[in-house]
Amino acid sequence: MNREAPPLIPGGIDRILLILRWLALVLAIGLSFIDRSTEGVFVGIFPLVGGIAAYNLVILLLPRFLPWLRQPFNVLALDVLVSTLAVYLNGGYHSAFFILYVFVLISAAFRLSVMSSLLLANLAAFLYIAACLLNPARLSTIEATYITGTKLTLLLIVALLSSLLLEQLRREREETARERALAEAQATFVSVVSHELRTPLTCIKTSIELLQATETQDADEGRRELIQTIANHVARLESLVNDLLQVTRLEAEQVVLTPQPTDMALFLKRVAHSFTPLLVHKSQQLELDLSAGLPRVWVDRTQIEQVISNLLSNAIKFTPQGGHIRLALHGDKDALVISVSDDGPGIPLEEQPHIFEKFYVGHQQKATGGVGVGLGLYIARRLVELHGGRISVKSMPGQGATFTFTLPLERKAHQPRANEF
Amino acid sequence: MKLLIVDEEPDVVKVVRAAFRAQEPNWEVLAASSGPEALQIIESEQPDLVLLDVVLPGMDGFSVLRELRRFSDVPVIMLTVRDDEVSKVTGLELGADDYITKPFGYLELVARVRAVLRRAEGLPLSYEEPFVCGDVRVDFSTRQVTVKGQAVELTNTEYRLLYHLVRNAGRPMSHEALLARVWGHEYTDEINYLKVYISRLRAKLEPDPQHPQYILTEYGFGYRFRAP
Repeated sequence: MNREAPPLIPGGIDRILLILRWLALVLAIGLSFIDRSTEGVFVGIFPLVGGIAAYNLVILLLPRFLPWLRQPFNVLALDVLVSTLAVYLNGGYHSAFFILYVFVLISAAFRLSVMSSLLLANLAAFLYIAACLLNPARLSTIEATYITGTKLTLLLIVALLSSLLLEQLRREREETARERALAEAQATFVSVVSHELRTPLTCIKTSIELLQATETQDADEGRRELIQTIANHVARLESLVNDLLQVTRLEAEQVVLTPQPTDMALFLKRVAHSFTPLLVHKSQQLELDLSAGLPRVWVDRTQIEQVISNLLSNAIKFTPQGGHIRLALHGDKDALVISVSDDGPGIPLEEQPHIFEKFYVGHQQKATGGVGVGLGLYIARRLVELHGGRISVKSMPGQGATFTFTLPLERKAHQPRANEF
Repeated sequence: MKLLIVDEEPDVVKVVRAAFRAQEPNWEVLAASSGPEALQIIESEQPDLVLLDVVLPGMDGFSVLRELRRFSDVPVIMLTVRDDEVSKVTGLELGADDYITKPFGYLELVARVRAVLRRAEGLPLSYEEPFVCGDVRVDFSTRQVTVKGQAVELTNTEYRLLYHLVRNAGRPMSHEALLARVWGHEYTDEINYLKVYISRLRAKLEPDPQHPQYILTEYGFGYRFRAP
């Protein structure tokens, strides 16, 4: 593998750490001048500052020639060593260059794990004590214990707090990155699946429709039936693909509502009308009980049409030939209430709490070999909830079922501001 | 009539061709399988309408549309597997005239193409007094719109929308009424179409589109053009 040498002036976090390193030096020099107790220094402050500045410049170049200095722990350990030398040469206990350790440990929190930061803090503590003891400046035992005790505690607290804080931030950033990656993966899935499934469906569906349109009346009955069978199954496949994609989008929170003020009675009439062919096919009656004069409600019509269509399709599916279905609308104090009732076989009590769950297929559906993978009611629930409403079912076995959902009259946060429409 | 279908799937091109052969046998259907090829054909053949897929190799459909709008106002219908609102709004904002999701019914496809072509023909010229409100002037006989005396370029759909608004100036018009009159009765739920075109009109006519003075929002109902 071709490993490139790092740039002379690093970018990102390394640049911040580099600035921090120089700030520490400036601060240490400033403190050395302010703190009169550093008068008994071993060497003059200027040669010392010059030496540290030279080290800081050299450390920029060294990683280009010494690959082991590209390891963050190694370079920080070298910093600790040089800081110790500065403390030793600058008067031990009294040296303001102690501040260098603090900056090195804050830098360590950015680059190392919590354990490595603490290891570095211990190394700094050990070397600091050694530098103080080796320095000719002497203090009383109490004073020495007080100074070293305070400073070492400070070192450990800085190392622990900064590394824990940074570790937490790192985790949060990783979590956010993971969530973003997951959302991107889901979006890619939707996009790929849309393309890979809907494109062939387009070709099949249009071809079948064209075949049906051009089929003459005297065409072979068997052939016509076969074409109709293909058309039915294409429709079923299309519905399944749409449901799967809708579920993926709902779970990835990618469904964006476009609400518009809607006269629900008119809207329901129109949706119900589109079910006429299915109702005629099963000789079923659809009764509309729609209260007039209700206030308009803000809904995404495409999504609410899907909710009503899912409920009506289920009602038609489970209601016997010649049966009766009722679509009702009335106003409540703060919501519109829409219900779809059928006189089908009903839903067993033990199944009712589960029917709005994803992929839940009821006993009745399995028994009748009905089509469906248990997504319709789940999608209906999620879409109603997105509108701030609730969906529920009431049913007694053998006495049909009534699905009811509410749409709040009050506009919710997701609905557009006045100047949007 | 000459159509161009831009889709990388040869079979989609084949079925679209068959659909138009069945419904409009005299129409010519050209095909392109990539963005650059489509742009070249649009320049050389000047089709009356373009059916444009979003997923194309290399240059995607939105980029093709953006590029195309620099030199042509040919009606464009996006024909794509993407049915999310964001994609629809993106297409409309870039200047698409309609948006059809695959898989489509071929009768719906042909009906929508006819509707867009009808809209593109523009409104007949009408010899009546120009409408003047503040700095905005609409001359129905020349279809010229000016703001502070400066001519404003409007697409056919934008002009239609403005026409219906100013002809009813001072009266609120519902979303449904505007959608039905400008796009057609089958579009009354397509609030995004109206939203996008109202913001385009505001951007061209209003001194500050964020605080409109001419095209006013009738909250929860529709829009009203200020009375002169």
